Amino acid sequence: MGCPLALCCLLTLLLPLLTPGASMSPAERISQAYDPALYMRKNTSTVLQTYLQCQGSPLSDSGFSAPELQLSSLPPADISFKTWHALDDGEHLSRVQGPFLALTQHLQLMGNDQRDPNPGSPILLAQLSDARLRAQGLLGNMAAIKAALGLPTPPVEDTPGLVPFGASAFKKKRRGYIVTGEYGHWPDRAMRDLALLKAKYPI
Amino acid sequence: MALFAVFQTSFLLALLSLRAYQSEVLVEPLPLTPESLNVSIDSAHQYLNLQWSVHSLAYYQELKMLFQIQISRMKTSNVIWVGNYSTVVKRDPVLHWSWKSELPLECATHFVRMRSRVDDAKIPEPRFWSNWSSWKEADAQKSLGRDPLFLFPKDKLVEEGSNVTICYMSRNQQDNISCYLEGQQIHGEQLDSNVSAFKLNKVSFIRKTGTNIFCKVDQKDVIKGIVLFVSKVLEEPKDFSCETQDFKTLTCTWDPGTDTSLPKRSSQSYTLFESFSGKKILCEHKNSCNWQVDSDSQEMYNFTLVAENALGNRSVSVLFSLTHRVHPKTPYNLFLKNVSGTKATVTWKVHPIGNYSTLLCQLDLLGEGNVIQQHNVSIKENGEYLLSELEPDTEYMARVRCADANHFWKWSGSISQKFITAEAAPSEALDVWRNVKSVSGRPTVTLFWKPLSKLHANGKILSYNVTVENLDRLSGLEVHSVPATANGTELTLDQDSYQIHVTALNSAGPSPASVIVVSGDPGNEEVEEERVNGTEDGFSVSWKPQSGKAIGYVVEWCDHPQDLPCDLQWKNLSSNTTSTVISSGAFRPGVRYNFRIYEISTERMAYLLEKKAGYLKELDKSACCQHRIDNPEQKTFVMENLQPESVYEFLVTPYTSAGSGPLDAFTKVTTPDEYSHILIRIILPMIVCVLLIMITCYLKSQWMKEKCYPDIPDPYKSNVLSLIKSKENPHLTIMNVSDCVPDAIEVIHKPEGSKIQFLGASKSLTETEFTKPAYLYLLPAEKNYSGPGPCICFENLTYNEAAADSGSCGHFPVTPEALPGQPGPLTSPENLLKALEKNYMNSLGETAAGEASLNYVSQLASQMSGDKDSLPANPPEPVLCSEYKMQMAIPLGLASPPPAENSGLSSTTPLDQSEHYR
Repeated sequence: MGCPLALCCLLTLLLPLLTPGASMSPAERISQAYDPALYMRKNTSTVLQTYLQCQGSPLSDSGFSAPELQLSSLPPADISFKTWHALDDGEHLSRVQGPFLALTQHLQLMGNDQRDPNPGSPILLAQLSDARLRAQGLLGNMAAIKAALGLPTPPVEDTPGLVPFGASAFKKKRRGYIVTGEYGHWPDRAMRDLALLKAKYPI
Repeated sequence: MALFAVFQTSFLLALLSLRAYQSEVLVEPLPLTPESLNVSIDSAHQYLNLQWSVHSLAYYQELKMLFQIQISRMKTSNVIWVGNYSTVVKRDPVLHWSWKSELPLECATHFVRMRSRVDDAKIPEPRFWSNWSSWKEADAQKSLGRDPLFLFPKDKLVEEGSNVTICYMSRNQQDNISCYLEGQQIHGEQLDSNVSAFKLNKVSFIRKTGTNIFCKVDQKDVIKGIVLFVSKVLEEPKDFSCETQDFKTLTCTWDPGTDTSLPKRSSQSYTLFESFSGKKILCEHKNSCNWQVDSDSQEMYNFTLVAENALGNRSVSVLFSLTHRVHPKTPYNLFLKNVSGTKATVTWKVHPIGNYSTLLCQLDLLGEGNVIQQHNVSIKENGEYLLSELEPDTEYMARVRCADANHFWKWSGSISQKFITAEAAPSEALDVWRNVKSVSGRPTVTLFWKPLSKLHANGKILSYNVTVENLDRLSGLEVHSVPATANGTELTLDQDSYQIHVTALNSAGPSPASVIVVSGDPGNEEVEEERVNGTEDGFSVSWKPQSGKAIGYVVEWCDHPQDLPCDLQWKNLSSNTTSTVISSGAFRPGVRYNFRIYEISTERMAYLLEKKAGYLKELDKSACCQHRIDNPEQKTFVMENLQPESVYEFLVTPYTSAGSGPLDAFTKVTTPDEYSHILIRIILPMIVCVLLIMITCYLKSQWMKEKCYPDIPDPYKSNVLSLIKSKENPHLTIMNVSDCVPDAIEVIHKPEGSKIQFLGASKSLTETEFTKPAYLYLLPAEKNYSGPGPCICFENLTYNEAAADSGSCGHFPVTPEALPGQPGPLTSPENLLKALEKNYMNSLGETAAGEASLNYVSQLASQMSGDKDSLPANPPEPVLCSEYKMQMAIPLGLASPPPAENSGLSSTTPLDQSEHYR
């Protein structure tokens, strides 16, 4: 049941990429992007749980939290409400696009990391692949909304920059922890941005 | 002599010159001190790599030398290891040597120095050590960076069960650092003020993604960790063997044991090495490898299988001759030919093995799953075998497998084929018996025969042939065909003698004939019956031969003598037999069985010899009943007319045309009492009825109470009213209490003297002994109120229940309890209190003191009508308007517990029109 549903959602996500020339109103574009974002947000915890099950303590400890752990290439989703509320439509979209591009690349990197140490976990690899595709789909939807709103759509800055390929296994595990954690936050942020736009541009 | 002297001189000179040369060499100090010592660190493998040189081996091409090496940690004086390294030094060499450190090299600075000594036999003793080289430092910490905490070694791979040393190095000595292994804190040894080491003994495998070890600085958000990859122990391959199926390929197989795959390091690999040919191949699979046999030249093979992973290797060898390791392929094309009733030819093929090999094939014949024949056949390619001694019309399975005939190694796989032999004519004559009786004066012969067993039927019996031949007259043969389902037939004959042939027919032909001769004359039936006793085994029957020419005897009886047909049974006995035991599963105790012994003459005619009768077991005081159930589907049977309170035993056994099945144990049943069910039929409905009545009464208790014994007599329902109306005063009616206007409430103090205060009363009534009734004069609630005429006073000294009703008397009770929170109709509390006090005193004489209840005092509402703003100065004395007294119910809310003492809400009961009390 879950697999066909996920497939449908992925197709929905990728649809704007396949039909870039289709003329739709901004409201329709926003509405089209909202549901997949909502679905993505609901499934983020699954990736995190699967990932942690494979890594061991301390990452998989129930009480473990390391808010200090951050990746310079992946900004946190947190933002002050005042700042967020003051953003215009284009900023709402642009400030999500960059991190999502970084997320897609980090998820790809995670997949590579996990393919080495954990070749026996195809479930995790599949979930990471799905997550990356969803993030890419959301990026496409964001670009389509911008275009429908008549906003400029410059290429999104490639944020990850240097990737420490020589990282130790523990650093890779920790990096995966941060990425899966942020993957749990950014869809929520994106969904809120879309919800704001959806209310602003009703169908 | 002179020549000798010259020779001697020359020898001495030569010797002197040699000694002079030797002394020159030995005396000259060899510059063998190690030079250019260089130390580097291999962090991945935790090696200290040493490189040095030895100069000026001027006089030797090579020289064996011994190097002594010292390694110190932290400081040069802390020597942790001293060892020798022996090697042959060649001219101008650069020497290398490595030392593996248990402690990660990043955690401590190491120092190395060495010295050398010639250790070659060419150099005579004594030999001396050179000077020590200078200390060389190996410091990996310089390149670590500025992180506050480091943990080593990184991503180390070890085998399960080994010991591992890890260490951390802190930049700040003040930091309090705690380290954890999979969540459990570990404690180590402090090597320095900022370096600690932890020795993990016999590490175990936890997961493929490694064992996490991390350290954190307390009070700081610093976490550093490493992953220790623990590999499963590489096992030696088990059950290693090689074999060939075609002399072209050798297939070697083994049990690899535990998989040791780890991140970035695949599972162990296997290499097959053959020592005679010197060839080596890397195996593609973990448990098998194929080796190509190049030619016929190599007979012997010596294989070594090496299992190898990143941490080590294990090997196992096997030596064998190729011809001793032949494992033929499974035979194919197994067919059955020329299948008759008793024989069949089996053919099969095998894959050829070389040019000269012969295969030994094992042919099994299975019947009903068991091997009943086994034959060995040597073949090259095509196998064939004639199976005999088969049973007609029987299913068999032929199974073939083969092995090398010269050197047995393993059987090939098996191939099998089922087949059914052809039918043959029944092999045995039927067992036939007869019963002769006279029907309408004509002798009628009933023939019985027992079905042939499968062993003798040799196929499906299609029918039976009965041929009747008259022995007294020449006449044609009379042939009767009886269906296969019948086990007998009836013939009507005359008084002549007849010879009857009975045969069974299947598709292959008839059985041998069974011959019996019958005569219309039944012979001597007047034979005295004798008694025979039954035993556990049956009836033991014996007889006395008469003619001496008998060819056999037949004992005849009925399995069910009480039934019709009685299920005739017989037993053939040889001529030299004079006794037998007749047993049958159908025999029952308490049943009389009759046995008739016949003598079979040479003419195959039966003559009655003796009669026997008896019981298997005689039963006393028991009635034995037997019921035949002809419907096989019937699963119940009702036994009627049994006696109550009696014990019966019964059993059920199946029967077929051949007889009854074996007797099982009897089941005992006791019939119940004759009257118990009658009692149940009567008492149970009675109990149900009583219960229903009780439930109904309970549910309708209120209705019952009102109908049967109401607490409050209803004047409208009074019989007195009807009498008064009809006889005395037709205009007399019962006053409608809703028309009443209350003007006074009599309050009687409770004897226990509970404290009561009234609305607005600053002085508690309880300050004086409140033993007298108090009257509250109440005003109508509305200005335009015009009350009716005189009303009735009701009185009830006991009634106080929740009953919100209308149409009741307009009196307001003043209970000892106060009424909370209702604005009252009285003009002011003070006026009310005054009136209350005054009238209370006046009424003392009318009400018995100490009544812990309410009295309701009637009033004349007309006097109060239209004047609610002022109370009369002298309120009228309460006058009983009628002899009729009616009780009153107070709403539960109004009769609720009293408020606090200072509450001023008590007696100002509202005269809201929606609230009426009676």
